[in-house]
Amino acid sequence: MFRTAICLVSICMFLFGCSTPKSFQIECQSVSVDAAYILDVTTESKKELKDLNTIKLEAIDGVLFRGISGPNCVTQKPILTQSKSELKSNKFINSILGKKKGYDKYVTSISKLNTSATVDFKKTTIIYKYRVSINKELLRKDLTEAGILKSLNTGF
Amino acid sequence: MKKIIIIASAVLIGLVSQAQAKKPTLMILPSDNWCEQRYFMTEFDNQGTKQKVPNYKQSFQEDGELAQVISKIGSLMIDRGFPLKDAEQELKNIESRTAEDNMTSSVATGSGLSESPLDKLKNKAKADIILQIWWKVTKTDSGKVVSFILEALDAYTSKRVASSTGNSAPNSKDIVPVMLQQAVVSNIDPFVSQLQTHFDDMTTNGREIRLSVRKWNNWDKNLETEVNGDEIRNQIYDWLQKNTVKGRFSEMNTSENRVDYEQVRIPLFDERNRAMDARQFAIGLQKYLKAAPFNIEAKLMTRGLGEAILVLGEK
Repeated sequence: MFRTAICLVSICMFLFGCSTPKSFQIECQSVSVDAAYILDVTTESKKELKDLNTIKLEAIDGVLFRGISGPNCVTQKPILTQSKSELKSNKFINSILGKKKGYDKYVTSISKLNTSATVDFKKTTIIYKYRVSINKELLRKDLTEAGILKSLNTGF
Repeated sequence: MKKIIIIASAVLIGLVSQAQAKKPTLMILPSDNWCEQRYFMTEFDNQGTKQKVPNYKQSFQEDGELAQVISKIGSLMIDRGFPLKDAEQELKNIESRTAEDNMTSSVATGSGLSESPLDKLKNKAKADIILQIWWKVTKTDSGKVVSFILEALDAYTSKRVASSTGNSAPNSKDIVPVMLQQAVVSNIDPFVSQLQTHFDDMTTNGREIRLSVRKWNNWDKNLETEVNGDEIRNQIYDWLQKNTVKGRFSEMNTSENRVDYEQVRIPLFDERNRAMDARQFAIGLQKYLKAAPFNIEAKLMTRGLGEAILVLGEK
């Protein structure tokens, strides 16, 4: 009974590990004249992602907390100076990054660019690349209205 | 009951308006280097010494890219609640009042104080912050590269309070105006956050100005003359202690003929909630010295918004 349980757990972990991308890499492609960020999000996975929400979420997370850079961009610092853990109980941040999918509002477009495969000793990893466009100005505006970002008007 | 509500509303509105300080004003100009590169310079006679200064009017009228860059920065600043002052319009106003601007001399002795065209512009436009832009388009083998600098200078002290700089990636498909707009949007966020830090400092510690107290040569007293048992210079020091924010200022170059005060932190507003500049602040000292026991007449001159010179002895 105990052995069967261990086997089941192992199979589940294996399957889960296969379908979930291990890591995401974000690269800034350009900043458009209307201040939108054009980002390339790359991920390694054995299966193609059916739900692109993970890509959108990663892109927003990068813009908010990690900052973005790329060979064609002036490096952009993260919009927020506070860390994710500092804002974990913030209602607005939770609405953006949580189950309500608030991030959708700021992703103006998403498209699959290409896939490439790497074969490494019995294991084939496919790299998926998506192009995501983010309305940074709207995001900044909403963060300011929510009081997370300080407005230049503060005190005046 | 109705009366009480009306009175309460009036008090509330009054309190809210008192609590809100006036916003600093911003004005954008091309940098000296940018003007020099494009030959938008003119000669200015600074009391006999020839000096090259930017010809802003010519740059606004003749450069096509400048208007686009200023317009883009302007729209981004409007989004952040800070509309920019129109420098071109202010320049036109100055031109029509050139004669007025030359009236900065002592009535009695004819001594004058020279102001550069930029000082005149600062004085007239009363902008607190001057944004300066510079850019250069370089052609490389892999495309055009835009180098861009955006700086904010405190009009009162000429100190740099925010700066953002960057180079674009080589680009062979976009036209220069598009590349310039991209450079603006890429550099605006770090710039605005530095500007925010300066505003925070200003609201906490006051505005920074320079003040100089001198004497006319024909005055029979000097700053070491004692009035009521203490030197005039010491009593000016005490007045500054009382009237600056947190008593913050530095006394420099002190002698019997002249005292210079730097990093003088003045309140943003006077007791009637009017914006205060170096001139308004120095008027307070001028009145203090005119009253008993001093009874000293003084000529007040200013340079830009942030420097006041009080010359004791006569007007």
